[in-house]
Amino acid sequence: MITVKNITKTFDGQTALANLSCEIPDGRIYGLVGSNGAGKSTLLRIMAGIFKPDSGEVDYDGVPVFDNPAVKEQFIFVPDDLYFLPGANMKRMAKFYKNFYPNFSMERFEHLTNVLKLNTGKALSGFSKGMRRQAATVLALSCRPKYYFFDETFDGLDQIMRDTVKKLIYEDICERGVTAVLTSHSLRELDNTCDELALLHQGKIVFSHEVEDIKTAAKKVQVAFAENVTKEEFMELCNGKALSVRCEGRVVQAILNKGAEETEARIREKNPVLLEILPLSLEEIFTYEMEALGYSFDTNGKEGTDETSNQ
Amino acid sequence: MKLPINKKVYRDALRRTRIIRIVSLLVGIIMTVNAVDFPGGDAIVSTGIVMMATQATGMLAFLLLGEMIIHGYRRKRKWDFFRTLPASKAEWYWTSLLAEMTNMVLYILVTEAAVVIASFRMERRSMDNLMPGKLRFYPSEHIHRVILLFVIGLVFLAVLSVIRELAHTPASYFVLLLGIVGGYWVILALVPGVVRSYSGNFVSVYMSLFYRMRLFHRLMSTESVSSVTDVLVTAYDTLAILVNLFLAVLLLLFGRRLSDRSRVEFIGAEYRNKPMFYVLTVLLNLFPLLLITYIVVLGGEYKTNILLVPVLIGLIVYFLLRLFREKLSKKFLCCVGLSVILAGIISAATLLYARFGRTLPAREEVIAMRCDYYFPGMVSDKEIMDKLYSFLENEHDNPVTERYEYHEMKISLYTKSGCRQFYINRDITEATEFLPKRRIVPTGIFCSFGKKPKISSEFETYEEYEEFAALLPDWCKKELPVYYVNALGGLSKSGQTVTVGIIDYYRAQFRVYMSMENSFEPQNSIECAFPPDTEAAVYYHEKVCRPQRKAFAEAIRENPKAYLTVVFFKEEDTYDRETYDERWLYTRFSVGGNIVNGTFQQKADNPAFPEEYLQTIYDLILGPEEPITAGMETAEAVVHLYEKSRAYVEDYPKATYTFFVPAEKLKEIMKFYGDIRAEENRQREEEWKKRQEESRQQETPQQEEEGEGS
Repeated sequence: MITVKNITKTFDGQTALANLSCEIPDGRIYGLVGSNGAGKSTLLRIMAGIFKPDSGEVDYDGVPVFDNPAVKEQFIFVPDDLYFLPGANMKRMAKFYKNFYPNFSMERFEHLTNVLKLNTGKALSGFSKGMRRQAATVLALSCRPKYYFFDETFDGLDQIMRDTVKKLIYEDICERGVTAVLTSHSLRELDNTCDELALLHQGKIVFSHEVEDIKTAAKKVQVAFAENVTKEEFMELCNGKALSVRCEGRVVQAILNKGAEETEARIREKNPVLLEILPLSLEEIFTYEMEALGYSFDTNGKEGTDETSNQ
Repeated sequence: MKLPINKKVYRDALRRTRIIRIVSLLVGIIMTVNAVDFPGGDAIVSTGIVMMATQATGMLAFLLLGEMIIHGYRRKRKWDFFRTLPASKAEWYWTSLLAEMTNMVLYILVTEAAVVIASFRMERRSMDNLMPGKLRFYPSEHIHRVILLFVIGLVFLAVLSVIRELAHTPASYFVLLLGIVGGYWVILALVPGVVRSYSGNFVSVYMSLFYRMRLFHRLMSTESVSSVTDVLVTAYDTLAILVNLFLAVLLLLFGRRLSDRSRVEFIGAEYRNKPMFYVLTVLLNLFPLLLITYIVVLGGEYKTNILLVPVLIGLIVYFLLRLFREKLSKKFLCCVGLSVILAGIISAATLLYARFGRTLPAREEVIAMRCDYYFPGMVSDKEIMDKLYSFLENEHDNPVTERYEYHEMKISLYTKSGCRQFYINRDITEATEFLPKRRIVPTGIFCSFGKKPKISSEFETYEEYEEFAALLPDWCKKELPVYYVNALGGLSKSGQTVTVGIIDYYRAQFRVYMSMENSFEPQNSIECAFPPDTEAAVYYHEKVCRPQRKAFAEAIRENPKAYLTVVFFKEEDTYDRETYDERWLYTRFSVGGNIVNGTFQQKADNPAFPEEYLQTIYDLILGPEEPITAGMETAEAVVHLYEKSRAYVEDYPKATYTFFVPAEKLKEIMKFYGDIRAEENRQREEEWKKRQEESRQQETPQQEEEGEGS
């Protein structure tokens, strides 16, 4: 289990992570989402022992990670900005990793390169962006560590390749029961991949839940009443459980958080002309949550001016 | 305690830098081959300083290359990548350093082995050629050189490691490297100039890194400690070694500490270590500031350096823009302010030193003197020293600041406590009453003996030299004891015997230049002259020159080819127009790496020089049409001797062409040479007789007057 305890990290006076804590159980796919600059990559780098936190610590089964080679042998980090040894090809990189990771499997490496049809003898500098990403993923999967850290790992991959890579990661996790932490600013990427998702905003985890819980918890409601309804009246009806409310005369559109069933019952008591309850995609939930946190832009470029936001 | 060494990191670093070791090996092979086949190769091997410089330059270049390969350019990404791998920071730091040191040690051993092999090969060749040869392999010398190179390399690695931890981009890495190393050199070079400027162009100080390294090297070469001065020198130089090592260790630990404190990678000084960033930027600012001052204000030769000024200004503007772009302008301005203060402090210190340095040492304290313009070596003859000192004293008390055309003269005073150099701007026609008008240039033969043989050996044995020295006139012999140069540049008599001398038959006189074995000034020598009809002269001709000529003839007979080296040079440190045009040509013959004969020609002596003279040699060697392929010691490989040589003589103080000629041709050249020398000798003897006659005539009226008076 990875335990992140009260991590704070500042860069040149700017706080990247503020007293952040979380726990990532073994055998899970943990997704980190958030706006640009939310602190996803910083958190991942602290978890990978690249950054040293100003305060707090990260440990793996109780053992701190920073500057600890024994712990670092257990994970591999695939960064957003990939790095390969100058002039190296995949074979050279495989030898390099084999040197450092005792579980590195050449058979798996060959198998994966065959699946993805990668030329192992060609210099990586001659690969396209997507191919470099594939190569990094193959190398990481061949190391067979206990933990994977993928930072924006699907960047540059086409849809088919994304699915293939997801499948490969998923298979490895299922087969060996390992843990993966993925970051993305796009929830669509993590929608059907992660077991658990954490939303980061301004260096803090805003929420962290099982994906299925999130999907079932939040719902989109469209209601048409017989008479005009104000936003305040509807908010009162929802008992503060609406993430977002938009009123236009008699029609109300709202996103309901936990306890949507109770709210639905209370709305029904008002005898609406029309009541529709729709499931939300993770992307929509993310957007509404961010809007609720004041992270939105109007056309004039002003941040957090959405009048309908509830917080 | 577990050492922070990681085998995996070490193996990887070595694997990635294998190209360096391959190239090192190639360099070693090339050095071995060249040292033997290239004329003068034995000179490269036996003169440690030249070889050390070559080796050290190569080593530093390889270390820099290794640093780039191991630590990479794309530093942020690279360290992000490496920091995820299973190794601690300490392991990365010390293991990569160990890998770099491994490469360094291999380089040193390979190149030093090349030198050793070359020594043995040359030894054998000398024996084959029946040339006078001596064993050139001295294990202790090689061990000393290896240790010295190792220390130099370690200091350089330490500097690199600190820069690595502070630089945050490849550009800043190189800027810091340039700033620290270049700034250091410039400051060292500048201080004497500033001192000189503040002292009314009268005094300078003795300060350079080479000077320090020579001290260091001398210690490494000292095999016995026999006097108090020796002990002092040894103690001083031991301290120098310890300081160097301490500096290296300190820097390495500092680098390690920086890497400990790093936030992301081992880089990003502007975020992590602000005080250090200030210090380094100050150095960077000082570097161009000092360089401009040095070139424009103190260099004197404004015209020749004018092109450098826009380059430097461009560089400064570039760095400024870069720093502004990185939003470091406020910090940068602080650094500029600090730089100005620092430059002011340096200037003030040098000003004080200059005021202090104007003081002449007391006359009785002066052991020896030197005046480069008039004689190449050091003089200790009391009469000459008295005149020279008085002249200097007069200049000191009544400095002449405005002269239209002057010659810059450097006079060095050696006392027991140190050496001080004084610069005097003097009209060329003045101050010649106590010295020969023309600068004396050694035109003769190198002889050497003792523990460290030099290029050529005219005397087979030390005993033979002693036999020769016994024949020298008494007044000449009194100069023979060698002064021992102490750590401060001062002199002391320690009863050492002369080990290297240059004997020159010049203008109907022999001159003996005695270089000192323990000197780190290569030209330190003692001069004395004696007439040609002494026993020593006869001995020199009969016992030294004749066997040599015989050996040379045998060598030509035995060898199908021989080497001819032509060296052109003009006086480097004279500014008057008259001597500027007097270019020199030195032609040197060598067989099997041994110089067997050499001569100097000057236009004043031979009106045909240089054009006709060169043309003749050219015709003799390859004929009038064919261009010559010359194994030049300078830049180009192919040169048309006649055309190019003129250009080289114009532009460079020295240019050397070496090419081999068939023995048949060589004989013709020798004959041509012999004719010239015979003519020169005839002229000199005539001149000598004429002067003898003149002095006899002058003495006769005086005696008559004295007779009349009595």
